[in-house]
Amino acid sequence: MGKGKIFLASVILIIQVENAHALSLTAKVDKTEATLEDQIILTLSIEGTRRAGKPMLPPLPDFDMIPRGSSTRMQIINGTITSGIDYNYLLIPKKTGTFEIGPATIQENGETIASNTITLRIASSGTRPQATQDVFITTTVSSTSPYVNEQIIYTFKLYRGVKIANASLENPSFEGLRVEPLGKEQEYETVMNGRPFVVTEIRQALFPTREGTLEIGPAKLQCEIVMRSRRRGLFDDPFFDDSFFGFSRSEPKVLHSQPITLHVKPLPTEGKTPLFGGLVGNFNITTTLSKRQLSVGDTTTLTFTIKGSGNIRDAASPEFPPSTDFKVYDDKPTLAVQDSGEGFGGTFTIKKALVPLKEGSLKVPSVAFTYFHPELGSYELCKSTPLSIEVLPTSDKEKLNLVEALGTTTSKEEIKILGKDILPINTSLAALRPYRIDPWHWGYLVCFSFPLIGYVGTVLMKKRKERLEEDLGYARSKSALKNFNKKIPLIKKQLKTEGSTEFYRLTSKSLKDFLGDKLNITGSALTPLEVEHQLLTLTILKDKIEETKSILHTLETGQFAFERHSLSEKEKLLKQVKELTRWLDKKIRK
Amino acid sequence: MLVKKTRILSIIALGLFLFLRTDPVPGQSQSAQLKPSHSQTIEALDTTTLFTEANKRYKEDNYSDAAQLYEKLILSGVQNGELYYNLGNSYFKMGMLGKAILSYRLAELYLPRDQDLKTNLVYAREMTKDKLESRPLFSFLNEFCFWYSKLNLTELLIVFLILNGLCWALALIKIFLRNEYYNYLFLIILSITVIVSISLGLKLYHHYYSIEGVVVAKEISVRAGNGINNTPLFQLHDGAEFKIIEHQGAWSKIELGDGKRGWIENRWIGKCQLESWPALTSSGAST
Repeated sequence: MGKGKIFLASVILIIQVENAHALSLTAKVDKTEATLEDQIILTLSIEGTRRAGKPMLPPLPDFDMIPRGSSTRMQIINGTITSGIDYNYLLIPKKTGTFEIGPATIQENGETIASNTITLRIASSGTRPQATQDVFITTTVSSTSPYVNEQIIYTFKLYRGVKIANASLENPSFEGLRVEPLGKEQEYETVMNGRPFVVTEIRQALFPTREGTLEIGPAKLQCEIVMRSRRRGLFDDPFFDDSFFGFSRSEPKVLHSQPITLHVKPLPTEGKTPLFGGLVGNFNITTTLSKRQLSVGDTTTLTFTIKGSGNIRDAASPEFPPSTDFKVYDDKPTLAVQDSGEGFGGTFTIKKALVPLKEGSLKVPSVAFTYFHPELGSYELCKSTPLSIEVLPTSDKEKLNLVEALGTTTSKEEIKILGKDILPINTSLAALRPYRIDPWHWGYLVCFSFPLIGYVGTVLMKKRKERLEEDLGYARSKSALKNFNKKIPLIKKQLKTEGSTEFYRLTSKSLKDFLGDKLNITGSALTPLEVEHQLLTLTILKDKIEETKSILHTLETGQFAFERHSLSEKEKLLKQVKELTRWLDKKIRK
Repeated sequence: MLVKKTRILSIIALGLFLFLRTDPVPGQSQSAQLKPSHSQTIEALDTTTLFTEANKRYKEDNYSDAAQLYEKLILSGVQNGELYYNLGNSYFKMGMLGKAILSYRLAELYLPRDQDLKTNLVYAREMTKDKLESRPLFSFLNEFCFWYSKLNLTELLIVFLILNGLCWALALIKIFLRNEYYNYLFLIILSITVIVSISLGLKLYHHYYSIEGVVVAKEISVRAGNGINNTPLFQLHDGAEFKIIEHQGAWSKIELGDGKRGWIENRWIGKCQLESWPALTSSGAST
């Protein structure tokens, strides 16, 4: 039962909260009248629900709008519950006039709910004299009509008669100007119209880079003015003015300075010489020598120092006149910048090592340059003081070294190219000697192949010789015909001897020896049948075997059966034997 | 058998004798030197007289006549680097950079170590309009393999033949003499021979197949195809050098050092080949 009551009460409560939905959107500002220095806090409050979306604001081109978060709240008064959400924005006015803010809108269930509109009046900050303001800024320049590259001092001053916090300075864009900071910011006290102010001063050197009208925009300073809380009592000490302790509140401010217009003049052409290197300001040059007395070949350092205020960064080395008395080695110039509060300037130092080439009193040439003096409005010549040095002769040993040094380094000059042309023609009759490029000439081929043939031939000969020495059968086979041919003259002698069997014996023996050599057997005892048997083992024509057999038979008949032949028959027989041996020599190869 | 060997040896000896005999006296047997492509009627003038006359014309600043006479001498068969060099000088003086460079490059085939020639060729190349890149492979070969760039084809061939002979002779001795140090010597000579033979092969390839050309006209368009109606791709000026890749009728396909390719009419180019320049059809200096 109890549970049921609690549930019912909850339902009624929710219904009441939801009934309180009558959603509304209200816009309010902390002030409706302000100056350009003020910041306005805009609050958009949604009443009735915490679940509504973010309200939309119409565009505000005349203000800088910075969101500052949101806060929610819920109230129960006499049983009536209200809830809501506040969205805060910081509005920084950009210009003076009367402006209408809103209406802001919110979408809820397809329904658009609009807020009220607010009218803001923004007045110029200049309407109040500066001395009467608590905080103000000023910007000034030393000259509004400088020459190109002339130094002008831009001074920013922040005057504060009250305590401020979280100050941040936004410099203007220095378009067409080169900026050099001048020292640290300075802080001092001053009295204006009987009221003390703390002044913070920041100085910068500006160099116009082009002629014509240049605009330096307003500087912008954002800060918060610390306001003392009225009710403090116990902690009545300035230490507790800090908002950290909660005894003070801060009011945001945006301060603007007045824009400055510069009329930059060009440098006059009258009096401008080639010695002018672009320096504008006030400069001077000094010259020093590290040693005034030295020996030939020794080194002394010549230092030129260009010093002054102005655009010293544009300084360049003045031309050093060529001298036959010295050998000159350049060092890298150095620049030391001075950025004191008075103005921008510095020292440009050029160092040269001088090696005297002669003895005696030598004059060091001076250098010169011109710069533009803006106060005088004319170009000024700056010339270094001429110096002289005493060069003493060296000892003999050193002299010798010097001569060597002069011979190798100092007296040599780069070859000057006076002109270019081709080298002349060849007139020698050697140009008529024929010289052919023909790599396929048969002579080259012979020369190429001759060593190869020689090598192969020698190798084959060596192999043959080795075989002849090692293989008896081969040696016999190779010499068979030669041995047979040696016996031919002897046989021929016996040809004409009538009735002798010597012809038949010699011929038969020679033939059998030949066959024995060829077949690597003992030849003299061979019978025709044995010859036939041996030859049949080789692949020789049957006819030739028969012929051999027949010849041997004929010769044996002549030797032993006394069958005689006529001379012509014998010659024919011998011829037949010779042909047979030649044929067999070719056919039987071992 | 013995008779046969003797006969072969005598043929080889005769061949060697004919090959190694001294060069003919200048002006004596020029007709024997004539190549079929260069045969033309030569005026019955002594080559020495022609040469002296050409030099005289050159010194009299009559470069056109000098060039004609040098060409005549070359066409008559007197093939020599000095003549090509003089011809190149004559063309250079006439302002014909392409023909000058072509002549210098042919002279270079004979005289690869001639410093005067090198200087003049470099100067002539400096005078040309087109900036062309050289082939990295060939520049490497020229720098590293000094024998490749410092010897002409004949000289390199002779060096190769000597090394070849030495190599075979050492191989022969090696059969009879077995020694470790001797083996090393043989291997060293063999390696040198192989390197030189590869260089010779490359040089032969370069001489016969890798043909280069030079523009011999004031300004020409290189086209996308072998016809006048094809799109012009880029322009080349007098003296521009390139590689010839292909021939088709009256057109040649060329490639520049940076890989650009295109077609060019044969009549505007000169080939870096001994047989093709001076061209028989060109009337030399007068064109």
